[in-house]
Amino acid sequence: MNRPLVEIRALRKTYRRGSTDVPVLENLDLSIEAGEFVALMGPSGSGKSTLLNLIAGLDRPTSGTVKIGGRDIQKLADRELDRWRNRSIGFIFQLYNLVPVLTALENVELPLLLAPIASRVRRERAAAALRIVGLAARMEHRPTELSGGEQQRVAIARALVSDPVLFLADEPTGDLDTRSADEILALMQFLNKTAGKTFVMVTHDPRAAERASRTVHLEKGRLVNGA
Amino acid sequence: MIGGIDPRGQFLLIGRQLRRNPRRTVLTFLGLLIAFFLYTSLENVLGALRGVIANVASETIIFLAPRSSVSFLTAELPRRYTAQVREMEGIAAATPLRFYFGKGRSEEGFIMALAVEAEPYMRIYRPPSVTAEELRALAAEPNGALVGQRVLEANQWRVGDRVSLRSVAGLAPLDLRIVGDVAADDRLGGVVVLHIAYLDKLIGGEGWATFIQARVARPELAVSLSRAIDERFASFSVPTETKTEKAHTGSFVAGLAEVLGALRAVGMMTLLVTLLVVTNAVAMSVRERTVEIGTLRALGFGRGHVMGLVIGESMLVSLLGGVTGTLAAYLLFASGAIRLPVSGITFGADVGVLARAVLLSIPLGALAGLQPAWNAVRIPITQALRHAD
Repeated sequence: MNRPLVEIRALRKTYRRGSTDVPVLENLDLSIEAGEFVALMGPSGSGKSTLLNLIAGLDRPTSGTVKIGGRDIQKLADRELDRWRNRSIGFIFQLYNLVPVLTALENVELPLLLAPIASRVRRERAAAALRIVGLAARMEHRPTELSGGEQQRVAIARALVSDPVLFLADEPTGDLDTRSADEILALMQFLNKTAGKTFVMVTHDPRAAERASRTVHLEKGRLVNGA
Repeated sequence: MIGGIDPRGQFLLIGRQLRRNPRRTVLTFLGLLIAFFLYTSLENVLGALRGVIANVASETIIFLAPRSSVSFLTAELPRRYTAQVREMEGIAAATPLRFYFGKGRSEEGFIMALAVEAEPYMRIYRPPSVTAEELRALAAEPNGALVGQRVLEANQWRVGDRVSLRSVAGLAPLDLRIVGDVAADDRLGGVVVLHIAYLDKLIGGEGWATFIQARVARPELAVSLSRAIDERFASFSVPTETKTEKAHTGSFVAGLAEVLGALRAVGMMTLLVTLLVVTNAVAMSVRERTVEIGTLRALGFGRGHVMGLVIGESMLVSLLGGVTGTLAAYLLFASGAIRLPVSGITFGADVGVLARAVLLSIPLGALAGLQPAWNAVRIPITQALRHAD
């Protein structure tokens, strides 16, 4: 039997506020198979984003393990973790987080600047990613010249361009109108179903969660179902 | 290449960030331009003055001045000392010397006129461009004058003209006839040489001199003769202080250099202030991009990459401002537009100064970017990303 792509065991995360430790995640176990589309739901402060940050290696757990593709990312040094994130994780943020002074194409190229590939190849790959998300005609546009939905498509192309094993989306439709949100969700679903990409999506929106193959609920730092 | 970022992409990122807030970039650039312009200009001036001491002044010409004070504006040395100096063994020629500062046609700057006994003066220093005929004409005309070509050009005068020199000190004007000219690059290329007797007749002061200038027969005699002259006049009403022209020019330049040294310190302070201004500008830019920097870190850019990009931006703007300001100063000095007409000192452009200033702009930029760069990477990624909320 294949190992899960994401294996989380006995995960705890506490933050220090003044003189007290505030628990955010408590003894959490979660497994996500490759090719799954998991929606993480829960009220504000339930630990969804913290969990996503720990899976992404943006933060370190207080205790417990996070293994991605069998690799315990907690054991990676900072530099190794940066390199691993660059190759293995595709981020999709709520507010797109594009660099405003770069064109769509240049934004998509960003993760590849760290890869040992020729600039021509880099541009070709970035252009291909933009074509996949339906923005072939908007490559030279700056983010301010694009709609919210288009900006999020650029962000998806940027996540896609380095061919990561795992896509992490934090409220990807939170800042979009219904139509654009549907388009973005459809695009993510398309990548999940046709290319077999694994998605973990934090969302408050039950309609967004319906697109996922599994929904995991968190409350007060614990999984209440879906583990 | 900074720690694995493709150089083209790195340059693209740095270049684009400078376009993010064009007004701030332009103001920072202008600050750097002005600072480096001042720095390079002052360095050129100091270099030129050092050059005067090293190359222009002679070891065989000596100056007698009153020990109590040395001023170009007064004549406090008894002129009768001249005859006694001439009698000393080893002295080839000697002349009393007075100054007159006036204006000709041009209202820009002023002209320095040296009033001398022409025949001995020309034995002390005869400009190579002055012909025997011009010397004869000078001797024959009581109000004749040799005029440097830089003065001729500035006042649109010609040899043969009768010209008037108006005193800047409210003295009687000089009516001179130009009997000859001196090449522009000569030490007398920026002054007027006239008869001291003519000046005495117009403004009085006969019997007094500002300096007595003499030529010693051989350079090795200069020091011993200077000492002998000072010993001779030590008990006189006005004791003397005698120096070689090199030392004399050196002391004059040293005085000026003190002022310029202070200006140089101001120049360095300007660079220091500019460093702080650039640091602040980069820090502001980094603060505005907290989320963007968090995003880059999330995409796999390491601390070194981000620091490299921030420092790179700072270095690029510093280099651009530094090169432009330095080049502007260099071209201005190279054009010969900056010179002291009175002393004849021309401030040339020094390639060494140019190179030093340009090279200085790089570490200055790196230094200015260091603190904002460190701040940029110190903040945890998750916190930087939340900055958007």
